[in-house]
Amino acid sequence: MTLTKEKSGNELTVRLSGELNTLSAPELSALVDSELDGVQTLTLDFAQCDYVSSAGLRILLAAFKKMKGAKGTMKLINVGQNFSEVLQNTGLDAVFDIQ
Amino acid sequence: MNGFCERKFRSMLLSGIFTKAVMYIMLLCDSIIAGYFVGKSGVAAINAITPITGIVTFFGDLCSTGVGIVFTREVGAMKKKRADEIFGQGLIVSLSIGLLSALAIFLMQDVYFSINGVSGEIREQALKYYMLTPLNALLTIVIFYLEQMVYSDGDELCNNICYVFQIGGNIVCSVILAKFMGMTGIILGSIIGNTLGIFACIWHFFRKGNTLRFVWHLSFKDFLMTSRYSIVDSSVYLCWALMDYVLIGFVSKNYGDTGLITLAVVVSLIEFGVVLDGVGMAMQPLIGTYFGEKNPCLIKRVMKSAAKAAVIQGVAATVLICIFAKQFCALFGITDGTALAPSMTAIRIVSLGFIFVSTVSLMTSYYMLIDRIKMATCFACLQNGALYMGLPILGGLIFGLKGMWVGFIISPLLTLITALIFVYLRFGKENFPFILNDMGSEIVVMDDKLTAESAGKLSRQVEDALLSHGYQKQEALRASLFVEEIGLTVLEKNKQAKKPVLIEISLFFEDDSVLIIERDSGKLFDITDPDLHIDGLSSLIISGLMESQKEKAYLVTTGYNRNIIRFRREETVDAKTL
Repeated sequence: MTLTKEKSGNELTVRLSGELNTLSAPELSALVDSELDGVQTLTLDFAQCDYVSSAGLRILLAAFKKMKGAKGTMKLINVGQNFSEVLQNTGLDAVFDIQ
Repeated sequence: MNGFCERKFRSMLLSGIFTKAVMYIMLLCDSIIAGYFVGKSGVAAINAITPITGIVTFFGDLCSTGVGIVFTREVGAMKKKRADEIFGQGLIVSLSIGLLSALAIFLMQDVYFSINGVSGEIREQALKYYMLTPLNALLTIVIFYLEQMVYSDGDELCNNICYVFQIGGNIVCSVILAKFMGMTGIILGSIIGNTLGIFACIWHFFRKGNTLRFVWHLSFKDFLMTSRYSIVDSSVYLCWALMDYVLIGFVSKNYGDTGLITLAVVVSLIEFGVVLDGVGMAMQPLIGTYFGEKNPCLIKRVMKSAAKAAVIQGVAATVLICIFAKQFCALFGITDGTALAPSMTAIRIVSLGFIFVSTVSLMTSYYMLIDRIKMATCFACLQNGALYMGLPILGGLIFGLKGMWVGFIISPLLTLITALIFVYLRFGKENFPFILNDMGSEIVVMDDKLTAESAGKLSRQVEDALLSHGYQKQEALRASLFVEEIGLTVLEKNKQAKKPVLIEISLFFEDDSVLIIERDSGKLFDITDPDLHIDGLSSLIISGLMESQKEKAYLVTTGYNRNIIRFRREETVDAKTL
């Protein structure tokens, strides 16, 4: 999976390309651990990523908690059909801000 | 290879060899105990009842072998209701035949002893043993059946415990009771051993992995279908009886009493060949399931492991017999005198053919399991009948007594070569030697030790396989998500497990769909259950995904979880029942 970061002030946009699964989740996890300090708006763009397994969701939840703790916001954009189904199945569609 | 099916085969191997060894030991131990505690008249008395024991063994085999094969095959094809019917009918039939046999043995006592001409002390001793033979016949037929079914259900632990109770109980009780009750004590020991074994088998029905459910079902057609699988084993016993009869005539004419004693030991050693069929027994539940699934890849993998095991087993048996030849002879009371040296030489020579005997046994078991019953019977009869009679006599006529024993080495070797040539010529190079080309669909199999990483890798492999078969990206992603989440859910459920969990994924590519069969060695639980207990995010996702999946099934198979999910190429196609 490839992660492309774009930072503008306290806004961070991350474009995910490939699959967010058990094998690639540690990459996103590292990013969440290292890049979120001072970020108020986190945008995750899934236009090039329609595979998110539970391993990926765990990282998204960790990022969500971190952002909430810092009184920031996190939104998911360009969510595809498969990922959307996973979010619905888990009830996380009601938790995340999906645009 | 050391994947899921190879490990399962190895775990069943000991139990398979044990099963066959039990049959052999059960045949021998009463004679040995009788010889030790009662004397020669005791051994002769048991020999006088051998035809009855043989018939009971035949019925036991008739009621059990085929039912086990058909049961695993139906489970393999996910026809659980049908498998229950087969089990139910098998239980009814084995109980009925057991009761009928007991009644017949009880009623025919006078006729039996008037025909066989046994008299004097031997008759007296035989009658003491015969008194409880009807009850033992019933228990023997029932325990044969229960052991076979518990084994077919993948519970080798329960099976092994059952054998320990059965043999241990028999030997210990027979020895103790023989001191006080003589021959009656020996048969009572057998009864106690069989009863303890039955109780051990019943334990399986209270275990979580048990899938055996009794359903009232009676069909003569089904009985014929299951009993035809017993033809191969039964024909071997028949051939041995013929061989024994013919060779006794030849040896008594040419080599006198010493030759006859040696022949008796050699025949007992040949009967030891039953134990070498343990490899065939070990692979039976697996081949049955994979045959039901129509999965040639895994059938071939199991067979490769089985072939190695057969060769190792043959070599080990040869080495052991060569080393313990004297002790083997002693089992039959030959401890010194003129018969000892030729008997030891004879069994050492004959044991050199065990590697071929083991291989032929495996081959006949395999062809029987894939429904080539006539062919398997022919191969079995060629070795155990025609060649076991012909070659030893030919060897004896040309080279003398030692030449006769060499005939027993050449017979299985010649059978093996003949059988392989026949299969090659009859079914062609492409179909040699497995004869599985008529199993249609294209199959991809992958397996691994289950970890979070391996679940991810398997999922990627599934995605790649689907894409390479022309599936849309969305469909491939969905299938691979299932695989990853199943793997992670199994991991969640087995957090406390000490042993690594194994996972096997088979993809069956059919015309308009792909069938995914997932097997794992973890804690038993139904992943398709809508009320599945949610332990974490993975089980939450899989539970949601399963809800929207129409074609899915779960069945515990040979003691493992087995999940089947079908993904159709187009969603508009009507769902078929799995």
